[in-house]
This record gives sequence, structure tokens and C-alpha cells, in this order.
Amino acid sequence: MARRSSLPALLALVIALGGCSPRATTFVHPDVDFSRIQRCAILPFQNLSTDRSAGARVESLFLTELLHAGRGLAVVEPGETMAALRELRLDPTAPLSPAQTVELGKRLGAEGIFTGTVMDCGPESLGRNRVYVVTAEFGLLETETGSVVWKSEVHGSGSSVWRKLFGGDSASLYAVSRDVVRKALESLF
Amino acid sequence: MTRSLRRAGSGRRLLTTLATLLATLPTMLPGAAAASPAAGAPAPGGRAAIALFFASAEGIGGTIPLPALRQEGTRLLSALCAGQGLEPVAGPAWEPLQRRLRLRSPLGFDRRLLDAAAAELGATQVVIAQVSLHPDRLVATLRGIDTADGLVRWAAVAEAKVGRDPDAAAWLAALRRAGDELSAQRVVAPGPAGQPLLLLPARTIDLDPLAGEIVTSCLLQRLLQAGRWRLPDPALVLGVLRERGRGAAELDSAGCRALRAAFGAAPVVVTDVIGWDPENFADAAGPAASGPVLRPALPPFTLAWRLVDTARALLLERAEVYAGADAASGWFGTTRSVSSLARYRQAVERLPYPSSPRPEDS
Repeated sequence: MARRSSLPALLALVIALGGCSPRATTFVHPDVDFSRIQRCAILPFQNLSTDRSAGARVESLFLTELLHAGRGLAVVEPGETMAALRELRLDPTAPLSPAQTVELGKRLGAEGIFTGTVMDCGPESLGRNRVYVVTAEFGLLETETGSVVWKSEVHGSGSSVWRKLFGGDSASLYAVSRDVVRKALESLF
Repeated sequence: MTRSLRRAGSGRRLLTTLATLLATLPTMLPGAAAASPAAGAPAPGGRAAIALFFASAEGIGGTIPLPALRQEGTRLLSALCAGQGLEPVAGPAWEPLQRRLRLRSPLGFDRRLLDAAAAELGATQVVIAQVSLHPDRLVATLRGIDTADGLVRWAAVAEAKVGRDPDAAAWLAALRRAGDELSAQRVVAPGPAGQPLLLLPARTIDLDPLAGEIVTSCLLQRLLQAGRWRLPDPALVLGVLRERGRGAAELDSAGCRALRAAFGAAPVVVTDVIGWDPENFADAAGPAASGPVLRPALPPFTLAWRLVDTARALLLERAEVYAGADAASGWFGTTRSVSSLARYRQAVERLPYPSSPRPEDS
């Protein structure tokens, strides 16, 4: 009987060890009513990693996950956001000042503007193994005052306790990046 | 026949030279005669102006018998058109028009080409085909576009292996097999019914641009198969944006307005094919190793589309699928026959269809 009851516990432990959840540090502005943000835009993601397309890849994932998790949030077509940046002569690679955020928000009719920066993305040697790691920072600016209302820095790795104990390849770069994006958005929605 | 050749790698110069040489032989090929209209009455389906392009991926070894491939390709396309009840327009009549309107790639034209083909040649369709050569196979795509309304009437994608160190005969045999496959695979639009849906050519990130063209063809085929939409040719959709100095990735409100003016209220499907982990799969695009060909593992990629409301420049829907890396070898060290077309097709089939546009969205 004791053996039987320990089996589910063992299974639960194995499942718990199987995944390695990304670590996140998050700030959510306590005085902001997020339900006011009905329409948003996404700025082109910045890329500080050595992988030249990491920004575009993580941005694509972010768009998918945002629409999935965003509960009816209207998202401006990225091409329109780029056109607005050009029109207002704003550098898409530079952080926006509060005044610029307000101006861009007005131009796009958006109450919120998402930002993203990929700081690290690619394989990393961990002992004899190579694992994929992704570190990215996501933010949301509200366009009435131009202030930051949400920020989340997430670090994800393709390694896990399961893999360390029993071997196995790193989770794919895609899976690690997707988990990082999901972890970030979890703190917002 | 159009003599456009695109090469993404080191052999670009050689193939471009070949293409230039071909340009000096416009109608001397026997295949051109095969493409010429018969002296009899026009076929019941009308007349088709055929444009055939060749493109080459990285890593192809040996000599590519381009003139022979072009000749055979033209013959096969003529036969395919005849199967659709279309009589091919003679090359000598069609080529000056292509030169004048600068038709240089399968997606490099706009409405003017269709209008000119209809007015000057009496063509009811323009058939655009591309054969892309890869280290161990060739992929052929084709689409028939109605010159009256610019809608895609039929589309097909096929591939054929060429084996190790292909010689001229192997390339030609592969082209013939691809031709048979195109004939079997072709999807014909069910009719003029359905709602309009605009499809922009797929954009690639960290993948060969040829992947975008293959994915676009697979998407077209699948959407035609569903029979729910009227699909203007992707080149025409892109052409409208280009006319206003914009590309497929710059769909702003001005571009949306232009699309609405040209095609009416219809949402746009914007597709991205994104390669993952390029560092580990850099060899996949590199030259083939000498000796036995061991096909490198194909890189993982995501295929994503977004449906854009052209009235408000807002996203209506988004879908994404991920295709992991395919190993080059299977169990017991056997070499697996991994095909990039099969992977793109599977990914396209895993994507959900866009919801039919609702009136309030457009």
C-alpha cells in the first residue's frame, strides 16, 4: 500500500524535476489600471546578443504569445509602428523618452507600447554539455504620461535537473525563448 | 521564356553568365517551338503566357545543364497548360513584353504585365513557374494567374531528387519527374465564389530566400484547396506596395489604403519563416562535401502568419508553428531522406486557416 501511494509522489517529483522554469524579475506599477490599455503597439526589439536575428525571433514569439494571452488586446500591425517611428523621426534602436512615448502613442492611437531587449541568446557551455540560454527584458510604457508600468527581465536555460541527472540534450532555442516570453507575460496577464 | 536566374552563393557568377548566354538564344531552342501555338483554333481554356525561372540554392556541385533544363521545362509547362485547356503563347511574341515590363523573378511583376499580356497577346492566363535547384533535389512551383481579375486559378508545388553528383541526364530526369508531380499536385481554384483574401509573399529570416518562395507556393496551394477565398496573386499584392515604395514587411496604413483601393476590403496574410539556431546549422547551407552526399540536418524554423485588417492596420489573428531540426541520419545510422519541401508543407498544413474575414473587420 505504501509503495502504491509513493508512486504518484515519485511521478510528481520526476515531472517537477523534468522542467526548468525560467527565472524572472518583474516590476508592475501598483497604481496603473491595466484595463485602460485596450490598444497597443510593439516597438522593434533591441538585440544585444551576438546572434544578429535574436531580436526579430523573440519579437515574433512575443507577438504570438501576446495575442494569445492578451485577452482581446488590439495590437497595431508592426509595419504601421515602423512607419510612425519614421514619420516622427524616432530612432527605432534608441529608448523612447516619456515625451516621445506620448507622441508615438497619439500617432498610433495606442494606450500602451511594448518594448523588448534580447541580452543573451544562444548556446552556452555548461561543463561538457552545451545548453541554450536566453535572457531578455520586456517592458510596457503607458502613453498618457510616457512612464514604464511593467518591466520583466527573464533568464531561461535549456538545462534542467532531469537533464543534469539523466543526461539528454538541451531544450531547443525555440522552446527556451518561448518559455522566457511566456514567463514574462504571466506577470502581466 | 524569361531568362532570370538567381543565385544566393558563391556560384552566382557562373550561373549568371549562363543566364546571360541564354538570353542571347531567345527562340532558337526547340522547346520554344513546342511552346508555340499550334496553327489550329485556340484551346477552349484560352491562351497562357508562360514565364519560367531558374534559381539555385547554395552548395550545388557539378555542371547544371541550364539550356537543356530550360528547353525541357518549357515543354513540360506547355503540356501542363494543355492539360488545363490552355494554348501556350509563342515565345517570340511574349519575350519582348517581358523585357519591356522587366519581368525578372516569379514575384517581380504587377498588374501591368497581366494587362499587357491580355491586350497584346490575347492571353487569358499568365503562368509563372520556378525551378529551384538544391544540392540533392529540385523544387518546382507554378501558378496560373487570370489576366482579367489577377486571381490565382491554379497552383502546384513539386520536388524530385537528383541523387549523388548529378549529371545533365540526372537533372533532366528529375525535372521530368517534378513535371509529372506538378501535374498530379496541381490545385485548381473552385470558382469565383468566396471572400477575397490577400497573401503577401513569405519573408524569411536566417533562411534561404528560396524557402520563402516555396512556403508561399505551399500556402497558396493550401488556401486554394480550402476553396473559401478568392486569392489575388501574391506578386500583385506586393506590386501594389512596391509601387508606393514599400516592401512586404512595411505594411503601414498608407500601404493598407493602397491595398484596399486595388483589391477592395480584404484582410492581408503576412507570413514569416524564421530560421532558429543558425550557428549550429550553418553547414546546412554550405557547399556539399565531396564524396558520398550526406545531407546535413535541416535547421529548425518557425512559420507564422498574421492576418491584418487593412481598414485599421490592426492584427486580427496570429498563428505560429515550429518545426524542429530533422536529423540527417535515422536509426542504425541510415541516411534519412529529409526534404525541405516536405517540412514546409507539413508546417503549412499544421497552421490553422485564417478565419473568414468578417464584414466589420474590413
